[in-house]
Amino acid sequence: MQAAGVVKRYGDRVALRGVSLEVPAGEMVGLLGPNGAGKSTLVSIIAALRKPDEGVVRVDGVDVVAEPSAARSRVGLAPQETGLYEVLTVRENLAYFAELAGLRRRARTLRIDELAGAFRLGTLLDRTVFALSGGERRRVHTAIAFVHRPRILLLDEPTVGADIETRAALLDVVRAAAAEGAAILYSTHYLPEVEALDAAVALLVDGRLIATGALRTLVAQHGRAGVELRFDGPAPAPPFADLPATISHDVVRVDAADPAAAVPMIVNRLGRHVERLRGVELMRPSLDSVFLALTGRRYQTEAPDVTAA
Amino acid sequence: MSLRRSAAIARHEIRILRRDPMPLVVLLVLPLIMAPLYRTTFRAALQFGGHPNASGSDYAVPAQIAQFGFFLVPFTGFLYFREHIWKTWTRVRATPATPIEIVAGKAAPMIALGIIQIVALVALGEFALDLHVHGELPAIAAVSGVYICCAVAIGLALTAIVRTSQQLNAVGFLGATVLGAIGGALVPLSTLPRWTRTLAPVTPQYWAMRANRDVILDGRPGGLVLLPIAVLGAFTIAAIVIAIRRLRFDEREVGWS
Repeated sequence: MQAAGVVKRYGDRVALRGVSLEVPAGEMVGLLGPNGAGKSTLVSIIAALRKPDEGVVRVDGVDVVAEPSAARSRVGLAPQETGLYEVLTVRENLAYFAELAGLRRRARTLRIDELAGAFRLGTLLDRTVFALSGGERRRVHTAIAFVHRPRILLLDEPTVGADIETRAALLDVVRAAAAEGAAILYSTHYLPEVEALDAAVALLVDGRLIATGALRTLVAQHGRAGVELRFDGPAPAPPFADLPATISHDVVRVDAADPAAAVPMIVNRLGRHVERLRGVELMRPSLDSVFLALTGRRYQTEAPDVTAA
Repeated sequence: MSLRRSAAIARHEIRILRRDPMPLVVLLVLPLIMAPLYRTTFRAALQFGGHPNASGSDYAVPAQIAQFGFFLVPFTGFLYFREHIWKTWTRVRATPATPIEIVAGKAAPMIALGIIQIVALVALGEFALDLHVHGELPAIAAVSGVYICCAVAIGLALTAIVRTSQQLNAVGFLGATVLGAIGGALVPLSTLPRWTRTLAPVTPQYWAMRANRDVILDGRPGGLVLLPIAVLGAFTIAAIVIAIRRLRFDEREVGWS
């Protein structure tokens, strides 16, 4: 999948500002960004559901604007909202989308059996969707994206509302699909999932890709270790001139190369504010800290933070 | 355009109809109940209006065809709003199926349903309600076929215009009832105020009633249905043009409100 210079506007609002991204076959890219960053817009353009105002997107070499139907046949999309035909069985839901993707009867039957195993749906195939739990629905919903063995998988928040079993099953299937050669764009709010997949990362903020690359590289370049202190009420100005710190509402984050060793010293320096201290968390270099370093705010935090040196 | 994909969508809609058969009951069973109920009323009205040998079925059957056939308008729209309610619309659009294939696949079962409704009504009339078709059956088939297509096309246009299923429900069913009344499908036009008779030709129901009445009741030549067919065809084309101009597949409709 190749996207080059993609711009998308909704009236006066610019949702995507020249996004360029490539997901080679067999690779996974975690598309990260806060709410409203443009993730779903980018996914819908790649899936040929919306047209970009500028730029070019190709999936498996096919231009999504010039040949939308051909492009869609190469893409498997699991939208953010779970969408299933409530009065039909799991098998009928899978078979319908397999048929629309062009699978003949025998191929459909075989593929549905495969997916039933991979997504742990074996005992649910002939059950009506109406009778499924939330996690079971999520598994069926995501399985539909895989039903025609697409070259490109677009998974938009696939584990939202999913239980632990569902989440584990989904991550296993995503890894297997990448191993079989699918290019995977995995949009999520859960940073640990991207870390668990060891996916490359594309960080989208305010319609711009601000960082792309291998997870380890980004963490090595931008990840910071530190201590996070949570207070009852507004966080105090940090009395640590020698340590860079960030204040966000009731939280102070202090950078420290060895967070565990730094905790006693930091707590000692709090003075009378120690009475309002409600929690201390050790932060290791991670995607979360990469996001903080690049944007000045914690992941999913909408309001800009005040940074103190 | 892939007929295979349209056929898959049509089969899928039929599968859902089988699991949730209430539309079938409304469209197929209710007119079969209503036709005998209206028969005696229509017989009296027709005999008063100069048809001494009328059985009443010769008006009740065309009237039910016109009235219940037009309920395909909201039912066609519900096929789209249901996708939004179940949040499957994005999913369907993400398949290789093109908008034309999706529309054709959803329209086909509705048209089939309308044809079954007409066949059932005519059969009931012939075998149980003393219906005598004095004219040519192919003429009835032609008018009724175009009328059903017209209702489905108007359903598509209405889907493109309204924003919520409540609007579709209100406009579709109430509109069908009001247009049916003005068009002469609820009571004979001769019993309505003069202004209604002036307004009637703007309704598809009027043209369906006029053609079927000419053929069934008056036994007039089949060629006389050409004008009603042309007018119903014009309604159909106008509805399709509205649908093409207004239907936006990437819009988010509101399922319930």
